[in-house]
Amino acid sequence: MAAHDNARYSRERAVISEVLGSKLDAAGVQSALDLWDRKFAGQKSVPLIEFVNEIEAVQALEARERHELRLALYKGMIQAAAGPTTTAARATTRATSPTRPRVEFKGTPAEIVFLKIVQYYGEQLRVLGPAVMQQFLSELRAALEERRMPGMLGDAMATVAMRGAVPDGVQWGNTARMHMLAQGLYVAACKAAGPVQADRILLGAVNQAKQLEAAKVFAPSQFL
Amino acid sequence: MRMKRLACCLAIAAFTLPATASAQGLLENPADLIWVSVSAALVFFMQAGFALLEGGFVRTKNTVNVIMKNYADLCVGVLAFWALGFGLMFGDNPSGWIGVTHFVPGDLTGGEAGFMVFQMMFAATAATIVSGAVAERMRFAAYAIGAVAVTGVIYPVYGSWVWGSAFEGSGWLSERGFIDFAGSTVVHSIGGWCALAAAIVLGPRLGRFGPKGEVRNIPGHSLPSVALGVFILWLGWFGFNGGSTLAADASIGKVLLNTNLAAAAGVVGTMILLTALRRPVLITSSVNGALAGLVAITAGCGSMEPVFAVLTGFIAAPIAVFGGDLLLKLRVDDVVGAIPVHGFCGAWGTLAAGLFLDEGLFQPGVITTQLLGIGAAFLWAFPLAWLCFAGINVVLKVRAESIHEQRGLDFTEHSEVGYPEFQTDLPHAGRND
Repeated sequence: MAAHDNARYSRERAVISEVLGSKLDAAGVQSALDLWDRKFAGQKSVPLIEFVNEIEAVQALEARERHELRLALYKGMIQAAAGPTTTAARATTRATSPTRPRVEFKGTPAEIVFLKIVQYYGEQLRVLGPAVMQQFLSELRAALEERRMPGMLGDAMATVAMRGAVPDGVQWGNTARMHMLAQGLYVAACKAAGPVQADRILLGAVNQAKQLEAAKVFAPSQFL
Repeated sequence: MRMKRLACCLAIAAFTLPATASAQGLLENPADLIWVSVSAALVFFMQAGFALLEGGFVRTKNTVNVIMKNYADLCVGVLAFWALGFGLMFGDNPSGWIGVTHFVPGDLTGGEAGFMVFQMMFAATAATIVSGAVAERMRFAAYAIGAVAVTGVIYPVYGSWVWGSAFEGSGWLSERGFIDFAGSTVVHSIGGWCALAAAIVLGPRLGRFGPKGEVRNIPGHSLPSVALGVFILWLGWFGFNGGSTLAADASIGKVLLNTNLAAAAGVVGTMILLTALRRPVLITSSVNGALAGLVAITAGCGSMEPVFAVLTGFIAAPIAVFGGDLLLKLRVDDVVGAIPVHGFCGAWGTLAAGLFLDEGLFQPGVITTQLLGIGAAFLWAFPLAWLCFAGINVVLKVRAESIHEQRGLDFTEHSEVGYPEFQTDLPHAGRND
């Protein structure tokens, strides 16, 4: 590879790290970089839509956020192709901590317990690998569609599962609705990882949620 | 038009024909009656074996449900067989296709009553084969109704072709010399084909197969229970096959010997096969090997030499193992392996009874008749059972809701859990509050 290609390659990676780093955690960014290296690096014309669609962690984001990411990447890549930028110069280090910052959930006790359960599903399924996680997210959307739940709730749950963060302005609804959403989680986990794993995760999620202060007001078993 | 007329004739005959007084010499000898009664008790005990086997094969959260199904199919099966099935199977059979007398029988001799008890246990066995295949996802009420259809109609009508009548007339397969001594096809294949139909209508358990068809293992909760269940079934089979002599005479010895040899050969065959395939020698597969051998020898246990009983049991092993593999490829979820063991091995055993007949090996005429009987069993039982379960599905929904699968059918169907002191990790903790 020529020297200027190497420089451009570094700049492109820096752009990816910076842009995706605003939305994803370190593991998600690393996974995207690996995908870039494996499949897209060195191409004259980069299919950004394809690239973004193939980043597993991005699938958890809402459509609007995915669009913003693509746009930011597009702008960054143009700069990276043109020459050295401050962005590229900055991006020589990567975050290495695999741990995700713990998010304190806010809302009613039922919502806090519910969100903890969703987060636990995400944590456990991520351990099983990106293919399982991707399958889970797709099954989750299908399960919620089957239950005639608004699509935005599926997107929001995916975000909680993937990033532990809650998108703004989500109305989770009453306990009955959250119960149906939690059931969708189990069905999706069954289909993505198998019933044995799903049972294990389900029990783990309940036990985790029992540790919460909110669990004293709202018993996690009420969802299940 | 002709079918309509035949149906009319049968219906009229059922209500107007007087039942022939009694079966000629049916268990009139007290020793015969005692032997068949003891055998009936042994076949009844097989229900306990099935309960342990199926209960062990499922997850803890579905144990009560599957054992309740075993109880239910025994109870509704006994009643349905007494009221309807016995008449269809053993009542006077002038057409060769169906019995038309002895419905809701009350006036029976001691021998006939003992014979009926023995046959009731067979009918319940055919029904209980289904419960293992559909475990962990079928609703209880739908299953109980299905069991009535199996014991009241599907099993006895085919049985009338082979074993009918106990009184007057005989079944069309019996007339052709079809050999099925104790029911490889009549009981086991019929039960297996009904199980196949039910499993197809139900679909697999949630998440049993991955998106590309990969199989997810769902281990049973108690393998010791599975093994104990098969020991009990093996014991019960001595009554199942031995009692089918309907006589306390020396022929029992050969029947019991062949039964025992085939069961042992089934286990050894499975172990050798699994080793040759470089698969782990699982207890679940090994004990199913015993059942495969037992099912297979049931047809020919009274009519083949012991060496062929060993061969029959030995060949049943790969049929059960590869049959199970085939079903998984087809994404049919059979929790306990009932379809390959009872359906496929029942068919094999019936063919083996013709191939290894001690009056003359490999007779083309006999083999053709055996194949005819095997095919007739499938063509009768599978479509009818499919229609039956699909029909129940329209009215009742046979499949449990996914939330029920999540919580376990023990709790959602029966408000109980199998091991309340140990299942403290259940989300609902076995409580309704």
